[in-house]
Amino acid sequence: MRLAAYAPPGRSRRWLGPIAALVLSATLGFLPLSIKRPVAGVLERTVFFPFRFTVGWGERMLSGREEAKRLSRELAQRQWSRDEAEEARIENARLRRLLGFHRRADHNLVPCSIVGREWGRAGEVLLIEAADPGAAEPGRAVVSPDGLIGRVSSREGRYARVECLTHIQVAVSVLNQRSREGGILKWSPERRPGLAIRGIPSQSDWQPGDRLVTSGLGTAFPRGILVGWVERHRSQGGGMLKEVRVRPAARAARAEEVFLLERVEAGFGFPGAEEPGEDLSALFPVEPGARSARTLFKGKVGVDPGPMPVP
Amino acid sequence: MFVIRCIAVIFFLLVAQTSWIPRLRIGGIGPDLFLGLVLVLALRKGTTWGVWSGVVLGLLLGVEEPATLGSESLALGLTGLAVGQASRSVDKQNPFVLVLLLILSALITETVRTLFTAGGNPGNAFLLWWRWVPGSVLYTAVFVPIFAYVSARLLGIRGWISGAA
Repeated sequence: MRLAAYAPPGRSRRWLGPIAALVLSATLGFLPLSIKRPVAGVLERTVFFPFRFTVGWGERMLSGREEAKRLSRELAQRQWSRDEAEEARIENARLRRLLGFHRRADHNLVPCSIVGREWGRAGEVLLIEAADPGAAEPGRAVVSPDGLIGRVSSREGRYARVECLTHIQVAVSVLNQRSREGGILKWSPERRPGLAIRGIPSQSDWQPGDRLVTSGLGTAFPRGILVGWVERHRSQGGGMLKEVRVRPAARAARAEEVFLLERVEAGFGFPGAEEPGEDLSALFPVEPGARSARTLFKGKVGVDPGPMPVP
Repeated sequence: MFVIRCIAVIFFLLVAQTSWIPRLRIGGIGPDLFLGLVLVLALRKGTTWGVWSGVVLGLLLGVEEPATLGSESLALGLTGLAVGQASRSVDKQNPFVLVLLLILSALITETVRTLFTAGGNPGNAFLLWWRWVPGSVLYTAVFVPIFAYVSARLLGIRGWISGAA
């Protein structure tokens, strides 16, 4: 038999293809998903690969740009948060110290903010604004958690000028806590500017690392405020006298908050004080675990000046 | 040249369908651009082209979502068949007729899709049909002609329905 006898008519032949395609589609539609997935994978990798690749590239480009924008925004947000967190950490540490400092004090400490700094030929001056303007009377001691800053020199309304330790008008009577030697600490802007105690006998006992506090002599500064540490000493006046260089405990340039030591009007000390000239040493305790001054200043063997806080 | 233009249009529609078209969905219902392409090919080239283009485009969509492999081909293929057959006796230049054909083809396509989604459950099929089909048909009937008109103007294509099979 000839094959042509069995060939379908022309019009019917035209429908074979579309009907076959529809039947194939229906068959695919009723298959389970476990078979559809591999079939879809084969079609994606073969017949439709150019379409999928191009669409995927477009999708990747669009999503890549959006992802880049999103990441950029997120990065900026995180950087800002990190800066904020760092600032908060620093402020937290500072305020914790202030709080601890304030807690130790049994006296009135009036907080002040520093609104200006000035460094002239006469020395360093701070301009402060006290929480209680009436407390900023001339002559009052100004302290920070680190130690003595200076004293109030004048007041104008809410603001007060503070002459720091590094000012030629400020002289502090200090006491060596170890040797109980005393002297007058002054700042000198001459050839080698710095804080120094001058004109003390050469036999007096001053060792590097010795802790200096205010002696309470005079009416300027109450006793016991930490002033600094002995840095070194050298002879002067032909060997009869010596000069002791002092490193200050508190740096006015680094201070962010300071306190006014409010003096009780009774004149015998501070609120809660029973004796005149009460010692304020408790405000400036020796830090535990502080390094020995012998290590820092290479003092005499056998002399233990006591621990010094790490500056 | 016609085949190359078809392929270019398919590329464009595929990118659009997978990128910004999903953002136009309202309540999960979005326009079907591929239906418009099947309609144009069936009107322009006849039943065979309509069926084959529907099946191939359906497979292309099925590759994107394997669960719909086969059902999309069948839906678009049947649409191509219906429109191809109807195009012999209608005025293809009349825009109202074209919109009517679009609505008819959208009905067929969405009904077949709904039947496959219902999984043979008549109750589900009935509910799904009322939930998805009218909204899809309406959205497609409104969006696709506007999209086609704007695209034709931008591409400078004129008389893209004319030309008998």
